[in-house]
Amino acid sequence: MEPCTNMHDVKLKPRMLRTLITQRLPDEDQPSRLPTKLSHVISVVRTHKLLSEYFPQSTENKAIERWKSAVDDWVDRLQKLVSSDMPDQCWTGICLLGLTCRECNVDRFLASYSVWFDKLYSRIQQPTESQFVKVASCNSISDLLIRLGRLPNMKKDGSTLAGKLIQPVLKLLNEDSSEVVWEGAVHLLCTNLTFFPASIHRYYDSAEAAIASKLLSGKFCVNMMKKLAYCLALLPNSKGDEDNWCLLMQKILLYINVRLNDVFQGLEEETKGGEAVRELVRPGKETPPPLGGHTLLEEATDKATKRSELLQMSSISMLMLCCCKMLTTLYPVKVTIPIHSLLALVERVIMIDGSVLRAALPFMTSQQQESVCLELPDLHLYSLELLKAAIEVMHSQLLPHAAYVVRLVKTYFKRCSSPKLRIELYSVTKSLLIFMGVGMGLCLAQDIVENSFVDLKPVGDGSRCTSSSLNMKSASSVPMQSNHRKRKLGSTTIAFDEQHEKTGLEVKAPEIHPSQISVKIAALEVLEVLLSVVLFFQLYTARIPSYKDANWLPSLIFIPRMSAAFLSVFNRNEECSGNLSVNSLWHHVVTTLTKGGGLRFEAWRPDVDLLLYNLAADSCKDGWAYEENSTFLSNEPIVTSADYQLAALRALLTSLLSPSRARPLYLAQGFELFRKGKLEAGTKVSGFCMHALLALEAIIHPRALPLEQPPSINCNSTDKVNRRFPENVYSSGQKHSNPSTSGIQVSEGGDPYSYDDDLYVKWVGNSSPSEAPINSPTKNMDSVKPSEMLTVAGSSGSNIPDRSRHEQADMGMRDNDVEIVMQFQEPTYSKGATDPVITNDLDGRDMEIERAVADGASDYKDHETASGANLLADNRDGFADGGVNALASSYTEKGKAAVFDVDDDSSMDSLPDIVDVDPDSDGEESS
Amino acid sequence: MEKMDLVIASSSITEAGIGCWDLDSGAEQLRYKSSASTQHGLTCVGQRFIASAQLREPSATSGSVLYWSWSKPQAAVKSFPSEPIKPFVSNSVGTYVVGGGQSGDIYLWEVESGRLIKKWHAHYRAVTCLVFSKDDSLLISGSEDGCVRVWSLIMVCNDYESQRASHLYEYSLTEHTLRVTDIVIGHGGYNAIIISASEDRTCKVWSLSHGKLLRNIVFPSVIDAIVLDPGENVFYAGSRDGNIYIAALNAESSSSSSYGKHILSSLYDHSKAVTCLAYSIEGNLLLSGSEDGMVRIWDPRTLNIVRMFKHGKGPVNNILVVRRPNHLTLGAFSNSHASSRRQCSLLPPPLEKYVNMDEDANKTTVVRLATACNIPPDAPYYSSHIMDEHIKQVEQQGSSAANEMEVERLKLENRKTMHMVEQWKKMYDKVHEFCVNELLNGDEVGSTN
Repeated sequence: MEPCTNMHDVKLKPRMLRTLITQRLPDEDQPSRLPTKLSHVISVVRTHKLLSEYFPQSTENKAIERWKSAVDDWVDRLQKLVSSDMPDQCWTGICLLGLTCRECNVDRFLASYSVWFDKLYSRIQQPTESQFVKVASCNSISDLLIRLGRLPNMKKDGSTLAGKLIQPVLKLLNEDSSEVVWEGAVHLLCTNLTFFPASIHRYYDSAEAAIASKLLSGKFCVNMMKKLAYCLALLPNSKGDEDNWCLLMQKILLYINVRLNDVFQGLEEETKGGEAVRELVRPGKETPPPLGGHTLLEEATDKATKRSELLQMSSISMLMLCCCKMLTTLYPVKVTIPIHSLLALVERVIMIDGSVLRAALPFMTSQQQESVCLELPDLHLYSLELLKAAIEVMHSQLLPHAAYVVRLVKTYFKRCSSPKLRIELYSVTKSLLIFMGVGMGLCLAQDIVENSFVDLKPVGDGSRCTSSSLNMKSASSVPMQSNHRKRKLGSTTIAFDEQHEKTGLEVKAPEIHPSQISVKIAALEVLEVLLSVVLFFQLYTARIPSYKDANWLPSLIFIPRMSAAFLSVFNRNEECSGNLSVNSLWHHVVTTLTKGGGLRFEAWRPDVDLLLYNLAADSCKDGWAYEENSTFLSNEPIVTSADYQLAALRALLTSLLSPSRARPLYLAQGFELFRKGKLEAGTKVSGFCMHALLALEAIIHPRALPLEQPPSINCNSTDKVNRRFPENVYSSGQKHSNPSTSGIQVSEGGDPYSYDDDLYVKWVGNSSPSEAPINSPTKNMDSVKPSEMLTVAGSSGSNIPDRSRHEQADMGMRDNDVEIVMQFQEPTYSKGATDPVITNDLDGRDMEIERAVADGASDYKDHETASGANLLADNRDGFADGGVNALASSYTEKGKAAVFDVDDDSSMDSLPDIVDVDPDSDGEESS
Repeated sequence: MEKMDLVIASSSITEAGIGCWDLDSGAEQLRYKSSASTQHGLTCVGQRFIASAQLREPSATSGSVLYWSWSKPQAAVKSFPSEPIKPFVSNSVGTYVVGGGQSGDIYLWEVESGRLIKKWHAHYRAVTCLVFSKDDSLLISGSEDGCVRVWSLIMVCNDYESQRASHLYEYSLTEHTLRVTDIVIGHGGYNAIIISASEDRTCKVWSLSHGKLLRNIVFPSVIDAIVLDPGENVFYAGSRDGNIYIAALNAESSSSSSYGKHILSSLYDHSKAVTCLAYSIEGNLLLSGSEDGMVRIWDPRTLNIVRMFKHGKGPVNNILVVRRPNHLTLGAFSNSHASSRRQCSLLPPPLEKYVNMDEDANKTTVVRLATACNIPPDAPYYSSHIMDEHIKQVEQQGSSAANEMEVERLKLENRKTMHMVEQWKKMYDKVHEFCVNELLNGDEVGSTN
């Protein structure tokens, strides 16, 4: 037995695999029960990558061989199992072969996929086979095709294999009687359509008929129906052209509308259905063949009368889902979307609320109404899904229809009350805001604010209420408009503050239904988007007349209803001061809404801010929700109070960050909340609070950052620029060092460099006012940091570069060369920093220095000191680049010669020109 | 990272055409021919193709808009709107184009279908410049009458509302006294700023949210072009005296500048007037076009020129910096890949002249659905999930709980039946016994009788 280092040792893998083969796989000779631990085998194989045959570089040949032979054995055994007569053994073999397709080495896969395919393929063709074997074969083949489809250059082979499959699969769909088998077949069909769409090209019509017949029968479980819908939506991929997509879309819409005519009989105007159908089939154009072919339609209509409403409704919902999928899945070409029909369909469905038309009353049985109403919410839900899909796929192209959509959303906001639907509606609104931007915010802001206020109304009408700790002060600070309420409120304010403490402690949380939390979260999310995308309330005031007569009419009617509701809540709880602050808030909303000048929308922002702060504070006051990881208990994601906290905090952050005229009112409180939240390490809330604190940092320390890159990057990039455009830099340098454009030079030296990080300057500037307006020295100091001179120079370090320049200037003028050069290079340089050779005469400085450099340059040339030239390049670069002066010093540290090759050239080249001009003017000025 | 920026410049004279350079290497790409673009009349529609409004004879009754596909120098699609179009821009994704007419009308076309969605009277005199807001939902227009207006496109397209409103625009900013020459808009939805330049020698900074004037900057000369520094710290204003002035937005400005209040400094190299400006964010470079036909590229940090492109003799009047489309690799302009050529040669139909009154036409929209390019379809091995579930099912049925329960039930039933059998047996025995007894007794009775 070879020793193995640890569980990751390659040598161990073949042994593990062999153990699995001998102990866990059923023996083909001996009839036995199914292996009980099959899923365990699968997980072990995947965890240890037992089939991967992936070897680290240094693996010995023996180990490689051993593993290979182990996998060979594994595959052999599986193939034997697959050919076994015993259904259970066969099933095991098939499942594990599917696993092998996914997990095995590429080379092995390429070598043997066709053999495996044949094995599996033979299994789905035999009609007598057990159902489980068929399904397992479908799934394993699907895995094989997916693996094949992902490998480059295997498209052709894959298509051939996939092509062979279609007929048997369709046969399974049409002839088999078990739902389980259908599911497997549909799954395989979907894989085919995704990876090898062309394989279905020839069988398009029969595939459509097969899927549609299943879908329209409507008698399967929801999951199966969804799969069918998805499959149908993928079907046009097989031809990949515009016509088929559009035709299918038209067929589906037509079918839905015709069916709806039956379902909505007596619930809507008779003409509506006709209109919808007429729009889909334009006069003079051919009616498309019915969905799934003619025979199917006849069958369906025959059965329709017999079938229950429920089945019809579910197939309608599923066809809507299919439309959504068609809109949102990938498609290779441009398509024409019948957007108007889609929107009209959505409108048609969501405008049905189950009330019976007066005219139809005598003909309608109560049973009929009940059955429709039972299924109506689902239908609404899918219509909203469809609307959302349409919005998302159209993006900006929705523009001509935007008004229609806005009208739909606004109307539906008033009609919809079920939590599920409201959540969906909020999500539609969110998509609208995101995709249509500010302009959409203009249209929807009012409705969103109104509705989210209603939904975010603190729960619990009784005195015990989670929201009782709403900050009374902030609530009362909102100016109250209604006078008699104001009096009452004023009198209770003080009393409440005391009581508030008590109630705040004693609160017993009322039962909140999870769905209500979800609605709140949805409402918060929309408010968040509104705050971050838009908030254009002022614009309303700009067009009051138009909004008065057109847009405002319905909402004005709506307002009294809302205010009545609020007032009733208010009155009921008047005596319970615990709820007073909450109610006063709502009351205030109502007053802002109803008062004559209610069109002043600027008043909304404080309300929204206050609401969001209160919600956040309230959600967190009882501590931080424990994020239960109870997902293993159910497949559905559970909305917890932690999610609600998170949503509330997110919205609060947005409200704090969203630009407003003054400092956010609740900034300090917000900080407090986030700081507390941050301490809950490991939770999502804590992560978010970190982010929030970071974001708020910018509000506390506002900085107008210039676009300049930080100095270190700056010098690199300049360097790069120089490399890239040497001739240009050179020429421009020439021009700009021409003294005749001295004005520009000054600005060149001073201004652009002052764009650097201004924060530091502001602080430093306060301490030494003389330096304040000029940014470059301090900046230099900042960037010079690494060098040792700073440590010596301390606060006067900021002047070092100046001094050095100055000194150099002196040097240049005095024709003093080598010694001083040496002095520059020596580490004793730092000693010089304390020298009081400092000038603050900054205006003249740059010019002076530039000239000085020129002079110095000529001197160095004469002396031909290598180090001098380098240093010159150094300094020259510093000047030409001003802000990058730091560069010079840092390079001085490093040791320079090589670094400055490029600049050396350019500076040397550009120098003669300067020398030609300079000496005269220089002499004059310095004298 | 590969540098992707292309520079596109147009000229007002036909011979020069539209030049296209690689900003990084400086290599000239294809030159698109026979274009005499209007000021602000050059746009790149969603990276897909180049479009430009053409200068027309004063007597011309119709306008002209040309499309060039990336790979061909000749204009591929020609449209003739009902009047000469001057400014012509597309939104960022390239689904709509807008043009401003000589009469003050603004035209909104859908690119994919060429449909004229809306035409509205925006200004009393000719429209001079048009800009989309960053989220494409607002349009800002400037006019010869000095007026700057902000439009919400949703409102404009909303027939019902727009008929009732007293005016269509969101704001009408009327502080300029002469022709508006250029407009730019900054980042941010609500807090964005608009900067407008005018022949009255001023640039005005407006708040989009309030529609108010924030800052008025008087320049030494007329400003024809403005461009924002990406950090909105300063903006650059190209003037007719050849200077590019740097004016402060966020940046601190000293009152004692030699140029005037808020003007920090200037870039000077041009002998002739600056006509257009652009900014390359990728390279952090400022581009300026001049009447002398040169495109100069400045490094805004050093205020130096780093490169120059010669466009032609005529004045350059538009510069665009665009990302190189994915299918155009370096040097691929002339011999582009066959498939990509097919892709980019598929230009949309020409723009319609009139608003289509046919209701039906407005009810469908051509949309490009998401397409998978080279990325393999993203289908996970979801069968594994199905298989796991399946295994669970099979295991349950084949062995464990389900079977056990079944066995238990069967056992119970078996026991019951056995019990029943026992009872039947007993009863049978009893009956048998009874009968036998009866017979025997009868015999006995009979015999006794």
